[in-house]
Amino acid sequence: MGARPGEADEASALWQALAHRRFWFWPIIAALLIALPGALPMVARSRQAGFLVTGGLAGLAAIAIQGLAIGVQGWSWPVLERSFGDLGDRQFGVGLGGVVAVLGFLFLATDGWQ
Amino acid sequence: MKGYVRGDRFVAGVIGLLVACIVVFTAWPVGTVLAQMLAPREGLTLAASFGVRILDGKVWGLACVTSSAQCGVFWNTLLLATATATAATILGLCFALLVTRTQMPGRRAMRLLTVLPIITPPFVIGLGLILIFGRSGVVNQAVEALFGLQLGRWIYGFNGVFLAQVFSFTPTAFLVLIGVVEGLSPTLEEASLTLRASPMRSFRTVTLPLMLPGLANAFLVVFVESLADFGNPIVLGGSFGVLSTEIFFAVVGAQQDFGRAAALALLMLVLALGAFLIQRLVVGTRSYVSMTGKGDAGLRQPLPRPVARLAYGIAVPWAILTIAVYGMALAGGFVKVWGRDWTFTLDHFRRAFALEWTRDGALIFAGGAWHSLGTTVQLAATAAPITAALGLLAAWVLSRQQFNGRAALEFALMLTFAVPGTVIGVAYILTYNVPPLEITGTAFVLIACFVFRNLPVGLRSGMAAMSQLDRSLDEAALTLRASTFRALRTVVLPLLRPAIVTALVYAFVRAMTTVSAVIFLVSAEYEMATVFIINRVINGDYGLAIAYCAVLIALMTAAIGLIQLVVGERQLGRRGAAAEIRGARA
Repeated sequence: MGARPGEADEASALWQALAHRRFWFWPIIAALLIALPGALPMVARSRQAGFLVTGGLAGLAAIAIQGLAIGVQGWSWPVLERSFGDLGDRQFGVGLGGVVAVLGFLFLATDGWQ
Repeated sequence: MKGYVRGDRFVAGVIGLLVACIVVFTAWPVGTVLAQMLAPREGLTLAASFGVRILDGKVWGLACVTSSAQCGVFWNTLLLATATATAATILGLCFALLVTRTQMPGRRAMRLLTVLPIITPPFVIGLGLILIFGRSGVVNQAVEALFGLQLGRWIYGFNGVFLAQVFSFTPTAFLVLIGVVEGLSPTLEEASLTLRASPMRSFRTVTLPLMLPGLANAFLVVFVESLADFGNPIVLGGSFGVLSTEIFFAVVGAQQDFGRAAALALLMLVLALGAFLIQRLVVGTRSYVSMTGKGDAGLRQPLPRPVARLAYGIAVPWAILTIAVYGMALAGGFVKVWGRDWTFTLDHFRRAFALEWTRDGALIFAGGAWHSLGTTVQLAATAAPITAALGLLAAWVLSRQQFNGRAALEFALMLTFAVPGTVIGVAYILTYNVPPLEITGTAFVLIACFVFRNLPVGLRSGMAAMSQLDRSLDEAALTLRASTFRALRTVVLPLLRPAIVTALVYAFVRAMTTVSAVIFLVSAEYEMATVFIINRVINGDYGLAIAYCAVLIALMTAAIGLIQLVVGERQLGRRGAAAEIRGARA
């Protein structure tokens, strides 16, 4: 966790999406919501696996698409830059938060798969 | 348990993690290399682009058959790898037979040979050979002084690279073969002698055939090492090009042709996988088992006299030469200019590792090598625990869990061992230089490279240790309702301590000395020790390069010493002759 949890580069994905208009985090949050019923006791066990696998794979796909769309120098595709404006330089690869998110979605998917 | 992975969520998670790692860090980069090779060149069709890259005279040319010109790099690489593997396997066998089957003095010292390839940076041998046989080398100077002959530059080219590789990889072949020779049950030879076969016939018809898998393995390992070797060809190759150096020059030279590098990398991969295939065909499905677990009370037979003489005649001069090469390689760091000014100096060490104090008492790392040494130690120390953890987890999953696709996962994990370092380097730079994972130039890509290049070390170390642990131990924990993770953490891991330490230290040491893959991945911020050294060699600054190698060797020796201290040596019990005689008298 960063020293300034409200700042754009250190906040949670939800806060970045809400307060800093980083809308590309919404698909990741949506994937978590898809997986959520997989953890609820009232959902039948046979259906829990489906939610977990779908949510996990959707999250991994969302992160991969986000990685393709946003490179080190901002948007990778001109159409996105024209639509949403210049993003400026970004970090290399994925940060610690990204790694944790990837592992989280991976374990959601495998938990459903077991 | 039922289900796809037949395990609990921890098992499923570990399998998912391993599969994801293989996909992202092995399959994807190798696939990118293949795709890049097929990418069309400007103004050319797909087929023409592919043809230009792969059907190049510089790759396939056979001019050396009819003239004094060089052959293509494919043939050079194949010739070099075959010659090196043959010579190193023969030498390795001679050393293994002498150490295990004779009373030769200095046998324990010979065993030290096994650690040499691990602790030696890849170009130490090349430098040692230059200092002996190069234009200013001691042999050339002596011949010129005594006979007025000029030997010239004969060491640069096939001769030099072949010699350097045989020096470098004979210990590897020895390491493979000593285990095989020690493991042969003496009872079979005893049976042969009892049936009145001569010692020579027993050796030829019983011992040698039983060593066939070991010989094939040693040949294969050295063949692949020779293919992937970059340090010796870059130092001694001269105009003799091989695939690894050609790939390097395609990427970093004026060509900047990644497609060509990818095509050459594919050729190298085909050669490596072809060698694996041939090895499988040679060894086949025949059984070579000589240790069954039943009582094995045979005595090792002494070597037949002609075999012993031959082994002595080959191995002893080679051992002396090896000591001379290492001695010269290290001595070069302590003289001003080798071949011209033999004055003793510590200047090279000072230039590399000088420490200065400012007026305020602050310490400054003034030597030019500190930055790369610090980065290398830091990255290797970061990669080592990850390599060990992933390798041991993979070993645990493969040896203890039954799940669909287990054989495929094992094959994919071992594939990283078969892919030469140069191919991995090119593959990583092509894959991670563009979205979605832009990590070229960062520490992360170097750590990923170390982890996935060295993963088989942790895997094999873990598999070997795991095979000695009875399944009933973890089954007992599971019966007492412990989760799989708890059984692993509290029962299996404490018993695997030696394997953990071995995997950790070997992963660290190998990360410190690797060059072929990382040479493509370093940046100004993350410069590695081996790349720093090779740049000094290319600039002709041998003194500093040798001084740095000496420091690395000292560091590596300390790490290996730590293993020996913590883990100890493998002991394979066999009766000694003295014990047998005492028993007979009683």
